[in-house]
Amino acid sequence: MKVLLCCYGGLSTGIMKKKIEDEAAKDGVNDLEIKAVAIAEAMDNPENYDVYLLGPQVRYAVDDFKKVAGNKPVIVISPADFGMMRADVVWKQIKKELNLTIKN
Amino acid sequence: MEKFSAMLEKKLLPLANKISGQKYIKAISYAFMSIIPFLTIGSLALVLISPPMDYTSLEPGFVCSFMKGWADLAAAVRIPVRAIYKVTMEYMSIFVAAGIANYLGKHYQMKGFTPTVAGVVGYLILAGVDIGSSTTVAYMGGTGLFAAIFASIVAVELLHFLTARKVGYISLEGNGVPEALTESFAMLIPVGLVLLTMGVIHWVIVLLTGSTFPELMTIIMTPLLNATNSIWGGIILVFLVMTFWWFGIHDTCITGPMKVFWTTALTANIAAYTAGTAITQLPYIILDPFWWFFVMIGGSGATFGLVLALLTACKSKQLKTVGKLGIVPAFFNINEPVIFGVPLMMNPLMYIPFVGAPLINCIITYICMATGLVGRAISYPGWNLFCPVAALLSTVDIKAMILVFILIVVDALIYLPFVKVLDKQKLAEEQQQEN
Repeated sequence: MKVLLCCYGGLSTGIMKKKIEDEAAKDGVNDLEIKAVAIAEAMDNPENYDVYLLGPQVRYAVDDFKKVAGNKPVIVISPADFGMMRADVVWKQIKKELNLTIKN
Repeated sequence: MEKFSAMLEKKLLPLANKISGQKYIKAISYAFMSIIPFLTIGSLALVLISPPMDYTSLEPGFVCSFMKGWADLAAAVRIPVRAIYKVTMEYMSIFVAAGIANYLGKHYQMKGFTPTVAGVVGYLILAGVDIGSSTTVAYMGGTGLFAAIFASIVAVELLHFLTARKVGYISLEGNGVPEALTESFAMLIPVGLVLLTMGVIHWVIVLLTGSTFPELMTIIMTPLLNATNSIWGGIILVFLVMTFWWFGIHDTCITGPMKVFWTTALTANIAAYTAGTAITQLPYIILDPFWWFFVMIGGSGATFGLVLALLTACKSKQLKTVGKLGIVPAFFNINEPVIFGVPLMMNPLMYIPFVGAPLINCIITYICMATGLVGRAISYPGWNLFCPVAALLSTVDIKAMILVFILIVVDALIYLPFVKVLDKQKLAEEQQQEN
């Protein structure tokens, strides 16, 4: 599963990336590939991802991503979740959008 | 208070998104972001070959030997390193034009390399020739930025307009012609019209004013640049940027376009410095290094001090967590975790220090630089360096580094009382939730 995680400079999402990967690993999902990039870079090659995650600082670009995402989900992380780096909440959103059922 | 914040969020967020999502603002700020590595290396190259003191005028001792070592190193590596600095700084507008054209083309989902080339060539028609249309490199650097922005936007807009309507589309399809050839024929007339338009703009401006486009822009913009470089310009800018951020409009929305002024100012400072002007006498004070290393220490809002206040004074779980999450990114001037986590955004209580701390930094730094106490900037090594180090690198003045450390403490003290009030509120909320 390929996830594009995007913020303004590509740095604050780096922290989030690690935490989401940890959450996914807890659910036994190991094929998760998160690309954390700056928005400028994301716009260069935005195709072929399964999920698009945007930090709240770039939510203005949500329509740009919806254009390229087709029927793939585009999720804007809420300011509170992003600020507190609540990767568990974000991971739950991803699972919900993709209808992932994970057995514990 | 909660209701007020919720109301603000509902009413203002769509507006904030609209402004940040404006296609030209996006294209300009993405373009500047993607050339940061080149400008950083160029700036460091300049510092490397420019020892701040002449060792021959110094008393023998550590500083003298250090400066002599530096001067020897600079002499040894001068040829390659100077080439890097010269090209990254003095041809910068070409990369900017390419970047803006590229991102604007992407915005319109235009395919291929043509929009980028159209932007660069359009820019060169306006800025790469003199009034007699002989080539010149005078406006390839910071002084050509306005032309780069204007020309790349006009060129891509026009190209998009023409190709979307298939104006002058020459179809060769279905005759066994390779696709690449079809594409280049299809673009022939639109590209011709774009370049002709740029040529006519150049011609008309020369006819009417006797100057080229970038010369004209320099004449128009210099008073504006000087106005933004006064202490009042600085104060108004801090106030605007921080108020916008508080409403949720990313700081780069304003600082992105300001970059044009700041880069022009930096180019002027470099030129003066390499011509022998003292670091305290350079023409401009307010530019990127001033903003990112002295005013916005730790990120917009001068949040390095805030993180220190959070870490030392807070008892509530939420604020302690935000402090811990925020401290490492703060060293690299990344503060989104803090802005969204405290939160600072649309939080009426925190508005005062969010604007106040950078405002105080701006005033103190401006006074220090205007009086010659601290050196002015000659290089901009990128915004994500730890501010005290970056301040030293950009001004080659150790006093600049000391000033930044002092400002961090000042900022922490400004944030402290507000953080304490917020902590009390959060603590009460958390206890209520537990019961």
